[in-house]
Amino acid sequence: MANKKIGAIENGINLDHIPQGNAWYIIKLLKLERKYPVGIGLNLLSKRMGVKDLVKVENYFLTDKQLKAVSVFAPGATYSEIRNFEVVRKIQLTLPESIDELIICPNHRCISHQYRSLFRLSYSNENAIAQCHYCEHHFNLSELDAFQL
Amino acid sequence: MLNLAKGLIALQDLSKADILSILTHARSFKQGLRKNTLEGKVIASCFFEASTRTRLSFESAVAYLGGKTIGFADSSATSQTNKGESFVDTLRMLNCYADGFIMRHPNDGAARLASEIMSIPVINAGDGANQHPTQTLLDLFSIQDSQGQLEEIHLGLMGDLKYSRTVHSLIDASKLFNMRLYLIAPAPLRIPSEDLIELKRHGISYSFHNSPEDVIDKLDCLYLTRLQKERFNSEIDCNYSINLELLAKAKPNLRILHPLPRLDELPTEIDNTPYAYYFEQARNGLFVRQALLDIIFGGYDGK
Repeated sequence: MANKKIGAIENGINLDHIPQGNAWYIIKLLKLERKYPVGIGLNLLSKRMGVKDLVKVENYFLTDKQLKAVSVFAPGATYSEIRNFEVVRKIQLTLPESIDELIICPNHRCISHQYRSLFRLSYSNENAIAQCHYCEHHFNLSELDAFQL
Repeated sequence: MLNLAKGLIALQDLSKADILSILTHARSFKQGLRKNTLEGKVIASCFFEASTRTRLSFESAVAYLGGKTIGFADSSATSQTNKGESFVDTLRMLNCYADGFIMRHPNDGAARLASEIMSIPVINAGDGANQHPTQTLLDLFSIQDSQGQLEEIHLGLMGDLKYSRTVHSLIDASKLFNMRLYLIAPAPLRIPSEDLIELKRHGISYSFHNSPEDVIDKLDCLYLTRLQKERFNSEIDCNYSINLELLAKAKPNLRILHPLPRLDELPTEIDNTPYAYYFEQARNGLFVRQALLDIIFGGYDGK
């Protein structure tokens, strides 16, 4: 692995190429607002995407479940784990087809609140859409505000 | 080939060919077919939310097919309500006591959940605001039965087009049969934009109308629904009713459908006209449910 430094992070993560506007959802999803040193880049110029967001967190690593959750809000983003200034793991995130036990269904009448949550994910007009497997309601990502992580 | 061994949860689980097979089989029952498919079988009929027509027509269909039902008409006397038993535990228990499960539940998605927990066939008799597939099947049967066909029917939908589950499902089904839709509703109760996008995507013709007078002479079927006043601000001008004077301009083949119960939108003066089809529609529910039960438990495959 090449000795590649990202910013000034010694140990932690770098989430690059986040779709513009979605950095906030990731901060909220991972409940990072009041924990860990976090660097946020909004509306940065990107050759690949035009405009992008970026999130760096020190002394923090994602579990596989958290990584899958972040993929919902940042399909196409690059996740890098840095240890001792070195990138030790690099993954390009893709939108999962379905995700279980993560999103709490915003429909208060949905039976999933009494059992388990399961959502299917798809794109419609470039936006990710989450559909509850049980109540069949469709939600835009901005409508999702409660997660089990 | 039609295979409903797992039961029926949602209309979209069926293909157009499946739907037509069920309707054809329902016609046989309407013409007098008798079968003993459920002889020696016990069907649990559990209504966690009350419903008169749906429950009685299901239980009647089970009885005509020679089966017995156990269950309850509302959940007030169950351990789930009184002792706090979880819904999932209730399902696991019922799975041991019956060969099939018919359920109405107030929560969206409850039937899908039941079908995942239980090994016996589950039939959704309405889950919250989500799905009520046997209602849609009997609505389609009634249109077909009264008009001789389903394709290219000129269908008026009138009343609460926003919140009504039956209307939503019928709009979904109309896409399969290339129907022409006339959407008659006050502005706050017009159909949701997602439904309109879907209609456009399928190339279905539709138009909006404020009053049935504008279109009554074009319709083959007029599907009326009750305005659920608890759902919206009652300040809306709710005069969405029909009357004999209006029907003077109707085509002779017009039939009026209504999922019932009715309120002022459908006055009793219509009942004795040739246009009234809603009681026949309720009767058709028995034949459609007999056909469905025979397909699920008797292995009838539409061939």
